Amino acid sequence: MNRRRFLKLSAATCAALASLELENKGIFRPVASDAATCKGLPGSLGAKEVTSVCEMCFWRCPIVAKIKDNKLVKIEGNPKSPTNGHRVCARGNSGIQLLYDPDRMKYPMKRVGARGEGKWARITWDEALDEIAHNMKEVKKKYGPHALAMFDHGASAEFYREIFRATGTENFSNEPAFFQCLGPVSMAYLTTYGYQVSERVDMANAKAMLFFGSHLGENVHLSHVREYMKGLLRGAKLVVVDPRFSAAAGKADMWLPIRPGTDTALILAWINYVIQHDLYDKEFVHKHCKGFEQLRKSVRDCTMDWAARICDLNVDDMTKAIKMVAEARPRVSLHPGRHAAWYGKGDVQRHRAMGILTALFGSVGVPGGLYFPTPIHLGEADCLGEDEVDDLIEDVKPPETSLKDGYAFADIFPGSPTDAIIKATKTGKPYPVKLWGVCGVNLLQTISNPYQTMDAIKKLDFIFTIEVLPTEPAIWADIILPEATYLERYDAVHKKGNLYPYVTVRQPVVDPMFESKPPYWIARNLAKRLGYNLFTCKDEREFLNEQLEEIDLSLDKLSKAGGIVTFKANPYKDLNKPLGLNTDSGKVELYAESYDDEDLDPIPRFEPVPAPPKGYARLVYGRVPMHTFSRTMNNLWLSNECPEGKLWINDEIATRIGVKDGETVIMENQAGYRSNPVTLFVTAGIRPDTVYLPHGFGSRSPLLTKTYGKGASDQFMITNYRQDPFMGASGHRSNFVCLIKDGKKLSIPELRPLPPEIPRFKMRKAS
Amino acid sequence: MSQYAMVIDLDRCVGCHACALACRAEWNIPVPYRRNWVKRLGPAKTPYGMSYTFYPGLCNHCDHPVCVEVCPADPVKREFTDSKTGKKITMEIAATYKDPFTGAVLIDKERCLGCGSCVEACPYGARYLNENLDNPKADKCTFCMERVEHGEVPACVKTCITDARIFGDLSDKSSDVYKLVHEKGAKRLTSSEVNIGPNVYYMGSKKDLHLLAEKCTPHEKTWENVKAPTRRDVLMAAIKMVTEKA
Amino acid sequence: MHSKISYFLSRIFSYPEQDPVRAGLTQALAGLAADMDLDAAPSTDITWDLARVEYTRLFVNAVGGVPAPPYASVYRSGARILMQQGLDEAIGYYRQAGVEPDSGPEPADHISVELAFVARLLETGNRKLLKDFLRDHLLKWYPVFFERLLAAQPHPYYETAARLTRLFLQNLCQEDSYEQTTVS
Ligand code: SF4
Ligand code: SF4
Ligand code: SF4
Repeated sequence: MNRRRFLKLSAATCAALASLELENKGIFRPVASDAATCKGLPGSLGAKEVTSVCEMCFWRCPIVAKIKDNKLVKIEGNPKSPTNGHRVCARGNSGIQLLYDPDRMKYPMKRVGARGEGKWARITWDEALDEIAHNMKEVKKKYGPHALAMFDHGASAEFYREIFRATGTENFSNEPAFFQCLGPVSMAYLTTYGYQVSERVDMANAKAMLFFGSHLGENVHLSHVREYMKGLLRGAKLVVVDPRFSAAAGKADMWLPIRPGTDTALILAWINYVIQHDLYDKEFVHKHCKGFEQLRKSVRDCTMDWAARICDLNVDDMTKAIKMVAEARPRVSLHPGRHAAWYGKGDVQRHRAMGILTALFGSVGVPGGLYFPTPIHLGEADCLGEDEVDDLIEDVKPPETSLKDGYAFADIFPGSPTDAIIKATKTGKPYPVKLWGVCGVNLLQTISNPYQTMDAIKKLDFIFTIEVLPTEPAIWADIILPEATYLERYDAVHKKGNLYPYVTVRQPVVDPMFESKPPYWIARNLAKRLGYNLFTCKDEREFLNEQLEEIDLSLDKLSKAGGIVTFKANPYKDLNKPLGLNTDSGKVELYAESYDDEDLDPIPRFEPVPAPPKGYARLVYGRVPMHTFSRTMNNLWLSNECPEGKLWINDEIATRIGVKDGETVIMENQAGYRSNPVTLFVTAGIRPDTVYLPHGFGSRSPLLTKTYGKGASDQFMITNYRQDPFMGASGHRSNFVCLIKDGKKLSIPELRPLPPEIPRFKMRKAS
Repeated sequence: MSQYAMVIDLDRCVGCHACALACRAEWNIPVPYRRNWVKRLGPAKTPYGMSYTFYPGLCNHCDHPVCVEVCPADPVKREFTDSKTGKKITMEIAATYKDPFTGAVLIDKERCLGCGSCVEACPYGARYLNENLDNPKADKCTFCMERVEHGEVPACVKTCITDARIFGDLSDKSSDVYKLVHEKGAKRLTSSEVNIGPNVYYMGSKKDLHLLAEKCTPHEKTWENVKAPTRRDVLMAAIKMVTEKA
Repeated sequence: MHSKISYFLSRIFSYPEQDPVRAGLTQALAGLAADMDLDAAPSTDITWDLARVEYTRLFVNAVGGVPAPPYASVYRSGARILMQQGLDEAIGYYRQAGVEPDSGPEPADHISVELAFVARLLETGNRKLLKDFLRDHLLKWYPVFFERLLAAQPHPYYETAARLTRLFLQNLCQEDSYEQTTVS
């Protein structure tokens, strides 16, 4: 084209353009006079600071956001925080990359192609919320309230949960985080100690620490890692029991590479040993525990020799380790653990055994042991409408067969076992589940047997997700709502009642980008459409102030105090007085009568879990410190730091089967499912019968440009699982893999022979 | 004269990578480049037992910075002032230079030709050339001198979740780094071939230091392989810079 | 008239709030393409629904990642994320022209905002600034964006718009007498 032509427009075109009313329609405005910038100082120096709370993981460290020119430039820890101070971890530092990720959900979307195809059109919030409300009403009308189910995780879920509760469904909060992770340990410590011990273990003041399969340091919960490090620097001994040489094992005095699935045998033998050798705290047991005699009798036959054979350990090491720990009593931090859904069946009992050993050391309510929470009583924000919900569901009948049936203690926890919901959705039994709301949880990378989950989704009438990033479930959703990131919103008041109790709030550090909305707004507008009079506070500030009022605080006061207010901790107990625990007996329950009533063992017994079939190794999984679950893999910075997990394999096995470090292989599990290609890491730091893969990689969401298809997913290898009989958590570690290299199957030789007590997993024909 | 230095305590380090990311955030370093890194080492057997440790690394602000020697930019006179004493020194410097008062090895971005010689020269791989810029420039850790001047500590030190990074003035006998280096025996990552006086020191258990030394000590005299850019290349680069500024 | 063209292109690159055929956008697009000798496939078959789906796929969220995120920031210095150097540059130019973006929910380095800015500079006759803006900013990233957009095989409606925009911007940049538009 030449210049003359460029300049020449036909009259018709001019007319067409003229008719379009094209002008500067509010795209620009004159520069405001205060457009001054803080450009002068380098890096994050001189930036405006806004305090808030991190949510890159759920430890929720207090942070300050540094803002320049209305842009977030850096995140640091809140120096006023008694736990992390000015520090944040790798993920905390990378929050900017979530906020500014071009892949994030920007507008409400409606599916236009087939479910799973991933074709959408942007729609308005009105259209999106109308559609969700319409479908919720329809499904409820057609199938009854229990046909609705919500899967949730994270701070924002609280508001949505209220809505689902108001529908009357028994499936209103089904946290995979509970049913795939914490459930068994919560149950065990509730029974034994009457409170959710969680991670309330005073490692900073310990003289010895004992970990079972913990990945502290690889799983970074910042202040928790600091307490652990403080303990180590003060000279605490550390014993790590783990089939893998973990980061913690690297700092340990002793590493016991136990055969997976046999921890309970080791603990019972140790319990027996400390009783036999008078290495326990008699006074504590006498005053504060119930059922010692039964315990003593029950573990009588659990000898060190027996355990050594079961656990594939050496008696001298086991003895040395338990002596080292026992000598430090009562300052023993036996970590209760976090992810406890290992095998399904024996999980609660394993953690019960850990709790019992802790009690024998008298490590309860004393420095270095388990400690007690310091409650902070916030006001009830009426505006949430909890009373209203109670009225709404007054007349709702429970289902004839509940999804909790068959689990003796499922009733004490909200929601239903995820496994039961998925199966009900897939089969229509015991009753149909037809609508899912999914909020902040990646169902396919979290719940055992994702293939089954996908089948279930296909049976739904309607599924919507509320997301920051388009993770796997989004591909399946009919409507996706874009939620504001943790940096763009308020959430409920954040209180922590641990060793350094404090209250702080999350608040927006920048305005929500695009049309993403904060959870309170979304919940409020959805509730309105459903005809529920919930969330009467006009906004989050009003609601937060209502909560804070009770402790004589307000958002303004909090902000003047640097975003955080601390309280005195009350973690230890006077052991001369009764502990007054919230258990049946008020004491530490070594013997759990409530279990007996349900035909469950009142004192833990060792029940073997099947060993790998010939030619296979057990797949275990864990964490890398730069990632949280499967949530952060699309973060440009974190993905650059760790794009994929490597499969750890024992060096001797590698030599035998002819694979090398850095080579790429494929895993095939016992049911014939194959993984994405995965890179091998050959090391002496893992048992020969076990392989290990960091969790959360191998994304199957092609919407996540930075992580799609990178590495292999452990979850897609986890197809065999079992429920625990207490509350229905699904154990994940009953899966076995062999390797495939260049199309050839490599079977894993058995270097450590099995004792007769341990059965072998029976292979069914591959599907 | 000061020499800033850093000591990294591997007993404390849990390999969380916070340091690497705080640096990236503070200076907005684009992926895949980096000024600061953490390498995961092991688990592997050592003569002292199994080790699983980490190599948190950055520019060493060496006593004899070979990166400075190879910089072909025409030297200019520059006056340096000691922020403590007010003392002044005038020195001829190329585009990259070692500050006589802080010991920090820095880059004058305005005058960097983007030839990449220094990147090749550094035996620690501490430098990079950002090819994505309209005018590529060499870049690396500055010991956060811009922050230190404002009374702040380096970004990696500030965020380190276990306080494993200790920063200070090695010429100051009361400083923590002085004590750790001279009394606690913190060690440099050097070999008989590459011994250019790095000012990042490491301490920790025998097994961890053994693995670190085995995996991460440089042995190649990388600077000897740097092909000096021809006179013509330098001239062309300089001309390009001048015209682009205009 | 040039500012009109630029406003027009800005409109096409924003989310289709109207039916492109009924609103006369396809007609104007075809006219412009013909006037500028651009060999363009007809795009009058685009329905409003189709435009919304296609815009979503190309620029909002899509399987495989959005092929062509329409933000300067993603391309400048290879940053690959929002709100970086690309945005700083854009805002710097806006301020030089005495304005600030008021672009609603979209970041101000969205292609549609930048084209509206070009239109504004054409309107106000700020030739020097326009030249700098094009040479040192918009044309530094538009070509990469353009390549990525075309690789995604967009509907002819968006393809023509993209080609037209490239031609238009290149010519603006070369042209020193563009303000003397002639109408035949
Ligand atoms: S541990 Fe890290 S990711 Fe988790 S809340 Fe703290 S800073 Fe954030
Ligand atoms: S580490 Fe490399 S870049 Fe840093 S001063 Fe030494 S030689 Fe130069
Ligand atoms: S921040 Fe500290 S603990 Fe974490 S990797 Fe860096 S040096 Fe190690």
